[in-house]
Amino acid sequence: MRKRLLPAVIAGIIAIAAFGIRLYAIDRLPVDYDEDDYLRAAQLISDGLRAGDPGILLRSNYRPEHPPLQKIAFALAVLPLGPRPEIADAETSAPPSRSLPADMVSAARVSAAVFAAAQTAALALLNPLAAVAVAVNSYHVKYTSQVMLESLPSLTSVLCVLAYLAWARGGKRRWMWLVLSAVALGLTAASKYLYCIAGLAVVADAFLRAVGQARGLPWRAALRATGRGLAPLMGWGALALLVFFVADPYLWPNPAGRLADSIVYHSAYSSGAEVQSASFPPWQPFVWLSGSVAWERSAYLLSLDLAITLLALAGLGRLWRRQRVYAWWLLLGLGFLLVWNTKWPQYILLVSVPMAVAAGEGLRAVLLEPLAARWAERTAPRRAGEQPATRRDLWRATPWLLPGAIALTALAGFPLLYQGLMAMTDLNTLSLRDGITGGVFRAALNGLAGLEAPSGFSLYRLGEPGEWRTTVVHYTGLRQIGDVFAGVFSAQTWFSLMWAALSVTLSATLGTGVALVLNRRGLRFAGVWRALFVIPWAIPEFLGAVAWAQLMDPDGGWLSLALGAPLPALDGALGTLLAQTLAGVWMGFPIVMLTATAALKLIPIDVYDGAAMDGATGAGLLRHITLPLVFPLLVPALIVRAVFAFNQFYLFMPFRGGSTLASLAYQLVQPRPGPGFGRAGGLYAVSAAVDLFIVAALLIGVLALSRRTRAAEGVTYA
Amino acid sequence: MRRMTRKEHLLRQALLVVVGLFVVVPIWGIAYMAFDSSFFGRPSEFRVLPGEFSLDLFGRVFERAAQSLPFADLLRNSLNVSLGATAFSVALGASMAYAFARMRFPGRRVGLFALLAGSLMPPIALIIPLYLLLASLGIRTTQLGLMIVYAAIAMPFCVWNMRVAFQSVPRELEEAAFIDGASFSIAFVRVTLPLALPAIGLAAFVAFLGAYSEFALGWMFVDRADNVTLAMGLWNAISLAGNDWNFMAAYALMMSVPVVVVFVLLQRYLVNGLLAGKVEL
Repeated sequence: MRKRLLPAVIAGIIAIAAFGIRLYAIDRLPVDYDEDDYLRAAQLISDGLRAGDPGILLRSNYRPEHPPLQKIAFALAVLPLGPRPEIADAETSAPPSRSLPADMVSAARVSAAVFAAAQTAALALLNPLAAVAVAVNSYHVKYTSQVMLESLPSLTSVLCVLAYLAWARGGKRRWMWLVLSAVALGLTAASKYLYCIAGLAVVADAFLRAVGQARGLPWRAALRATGRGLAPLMGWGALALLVFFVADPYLWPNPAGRLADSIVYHSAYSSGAEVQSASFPPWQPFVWLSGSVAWERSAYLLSLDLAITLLALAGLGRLWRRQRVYAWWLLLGLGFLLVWNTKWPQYILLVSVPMAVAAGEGLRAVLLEPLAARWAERTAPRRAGEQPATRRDLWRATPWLLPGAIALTALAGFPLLYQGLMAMTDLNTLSLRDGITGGVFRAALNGLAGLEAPSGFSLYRLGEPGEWRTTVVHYTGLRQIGDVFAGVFSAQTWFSLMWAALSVTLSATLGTGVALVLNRRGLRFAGVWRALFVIPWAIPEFLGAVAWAQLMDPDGGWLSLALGAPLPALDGALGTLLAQTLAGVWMGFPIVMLTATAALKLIPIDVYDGAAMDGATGAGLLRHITLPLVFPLLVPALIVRAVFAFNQFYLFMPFRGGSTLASLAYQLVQPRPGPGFGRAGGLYAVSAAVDLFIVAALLIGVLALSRRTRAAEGVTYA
Repeated sequence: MRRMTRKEHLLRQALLVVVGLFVVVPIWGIAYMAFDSSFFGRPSEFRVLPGEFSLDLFGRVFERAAQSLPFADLLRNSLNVSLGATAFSVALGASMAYAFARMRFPGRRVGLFALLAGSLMPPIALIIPLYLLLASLGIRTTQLGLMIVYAAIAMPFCVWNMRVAFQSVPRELEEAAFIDGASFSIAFVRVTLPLALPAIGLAAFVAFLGAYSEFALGWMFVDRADNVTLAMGLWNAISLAGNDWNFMAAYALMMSVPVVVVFVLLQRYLVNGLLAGKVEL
């Protein structure tokens, strides 16, 4: 009994915390887009019910593109309040309403928060870390504290997956779990279609399980075994459909017609004017994921979203190995978010749970397990023969270290330290003179000593005039460092990550490929080709970028002149990224090619002879011998390339668009940083906070990568 | 290994031609303009070869590249600054890198960590701190000042790379020298340094390239026309003058050809350093 008590207590605490965080937000969040729509839907239903007319459920489903279940839940929540003046019927794109009855809004919002608390409780029973990540996720907090259609389907989709996992584990009451899973999926569909992605993940997982069980059997038996494995899934699907139909009374009078209408609406909407005018890049959902909600700051108690996303990235591999169904959920969800045209921020709640599970795995991999290992190492007896370095060693090393140490202290140490101080002030163009004549030291050190209170400087009000716009530097505390680390600049954070991954992966692939093609005895002109391919590397990268920008310019570039027409496909975020990626690969592949060529030379020829005798052929040799031997030698070079790519900004200057964090740091110190900053200029303090974030992010990334690859490469990073 | 068939050889050459086009096309898209005096501003029709072949543009760049200075002056500034920064980073960093590669001392791990953190800073982080440093030394707007700025960017990575280069020289070679009675300094100069030289050369080349092509920080420090470098002048030609495309093309060509030629000539030597020292770029 006690064994079950502890998890229940923990789950209870997490759920209460989740509820508390949402209550805090409910009090502070202004009325948002769409809240009036769903509240009106709830009002129409509750008015009907109050008048003793349950038939209203068959007739009324305001905003019929979304099924009615969550609206019905809101209706029940506002039912006890009694009648209120009718909420106006407005366009979906209408600005947030200012005249909603306050008691209705809060009753409906609290009901949403209850669902969210239930969701974290259910998740916490199996996976407390993930539940914490969901509880504090600021987008989750926002959209489950408002009258939106996210909280109920979030809850039921988690129940669907959790119950499926309980079924898959086996045991006496497993069929009950499968029924529960199907019911939960049906309710999900009756609340918001999108969240059925969780059901698709269940299907993918169950299907592969069934196929996996049949592996190795003769095909007829395999087919039969797969069928047996899939039969429960069929029943599950049928039951889910039935529950969906029962839970969506609006469908009853005209099932086919109303269902078709509600589905067709979304594809029309996603190519409509409202979505177009938002003009988000295809990867916008990832931008939402790379930071906390950047508006209504005061409503959220915590902003850990960026940390959660980064941990989730680190935990992806473990997620795939250990929690396959969540991995499918994440994969399908992110894939959908990437290709679907409508990019509203609430859509990312679709993947909140699998992201949270991945982040839990990431936390274990990056922090908890290494710490445990370090602790075990500490407490183990020291191995014989290993003595700590002594003062004598230092004495001997000093003359070797001194010149470099002095230079590095002045040229790298001092700047890093100064960045730290600057980031705690509001240094900008106006206060520059004071700042560089000692103002930064004064403000930061006074502040740290408690002699000066933090000023009202805020990253969220840079465009507005403020008390910090004076000729004197003020102390601002750790707030702006905190804000930057929470992901205020999520667009640039995401772009840096995406850019580094994209350019390094593609350069590595092309570079290794070219090295393999060249690495053949008797190949003519190999030396000439190699010399030609190395040229881009020796060209200053800014020049290379200019050449590519000129080549790929949508109107008037060399390519568009050659084709005789402007190339609109090269315009916009995706087209620009394509041109930039080509430029990045062009500059990056030569060094990989050279490194891979050198690495290939190190493979002794008898390895191939032995493999050939064992009957290995071209593709098999490549996959099982060559690449595994070459790759470890490339890893250090690739890590360093990734660091350079993450800090890249010269390359983006000739293009219209594309901005890494390093470009942002450069932009911020310009007299006119651009849109979003109003007339504020030379924001050195903000730029410094961004620099600190870059250093921290790269340090963690490099350490994590080198820990994983150290054994193979034989090069220690720290 | 079995011999290549004719078909396989052709296939390989075809793949290499595709990659070759990928490498050459953007260069050609700029380079042909440098020889073309048939248009002003942006090219408005497609050409593969110059419409009107001429070398006048090179003459123009040669006489007045930027800030009404001739090309040779800018080149001299660039070489001063870049070679200076490279020499500074390599000379001051080498012994430190060697100590990190070979010696034991307290604080080594912390030191490596700090070294790493320094090499992860984006260049823009250096502006104000170095402004203060250089102003206090009274050399803020000079070429020496710019050299120090570029050395600050190059040095952490240079030290990091040289450390790896020294580390990959087999320890046994040094130990043999120790048995013969050599000290650390003799082993370093006679054994490790010569073996790591290609790797150091490569690290130096990268440091040089970084400084040679930097312009954004340059413009924040230099305010006297006669200290402008080639890269700074080119950025001006592109961003301020805006539309003089064939001038810009000639300039770009004149700026990058010498570096490319030097690199291709030294290639064999530098590439030896690539894995011998596992230098990373």
